[in-house]
Amino acid sequence: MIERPTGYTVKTVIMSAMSSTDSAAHDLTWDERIFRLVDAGVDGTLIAENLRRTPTERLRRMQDMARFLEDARRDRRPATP
Amino acid sequence: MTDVQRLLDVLRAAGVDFVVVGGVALVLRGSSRVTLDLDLCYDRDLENLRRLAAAMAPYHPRLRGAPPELPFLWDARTLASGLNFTLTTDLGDLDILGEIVGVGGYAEVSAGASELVVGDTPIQVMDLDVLERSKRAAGRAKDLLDLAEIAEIRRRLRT
Repeated sequence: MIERPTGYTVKTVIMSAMSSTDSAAHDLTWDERIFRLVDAGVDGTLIAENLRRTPTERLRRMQDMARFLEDARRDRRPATP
Repeated sequence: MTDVQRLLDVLRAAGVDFVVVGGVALVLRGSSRVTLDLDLCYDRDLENLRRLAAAMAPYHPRLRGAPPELPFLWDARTLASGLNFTLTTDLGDLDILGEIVGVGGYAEVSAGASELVVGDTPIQVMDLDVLERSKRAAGRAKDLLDLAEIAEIRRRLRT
């Protein structure tokens, strides 16, 4: 059993994941080893929503988000003192 | 902003042989991530290079991030003499890749792709297991996040 380190950083997690002598981790890929230690933080509800959409709808939604992000970046103003 | 649908329509209308890979492929397969460019693996057959060059010429492809004074001739000969091109065009950012790390060239990538209809356009999109293989081989920090998304898509598709 791999212990999740406390106060870990990405570096310590990767070092720990790669050097594990746990036989159960032996056949895991590098990413699977890391995800045994850290929560991937993926919002499954967003993926579930996306899977209910058609590929066309998935692309449109992504483009809407990209447009929003670009607009927000363009409209960004420096904070006033 | 990159007009992904328009780029796909233009390339398909011109009969260009390509497979959608990278972030847009992930999105089409169900990922919730956002990507700002379109990545394609293209067939390097000379006729296909000619079709690709002709299809994109009206949209003025140029090397992304290169100094404007750097000469760049967009034609089949340039495509034949290179492999991977990161481009900006009038329709947005487009990366055309002759090979995909962990998968291979167009023949291997095409064998690991299947058709999805996007808009009214049937296109070849890299399959989830091949996307996983390529992300795992690339091994960058952003690939780790994509691999987490792929694992979650798989989990959701099973239930």
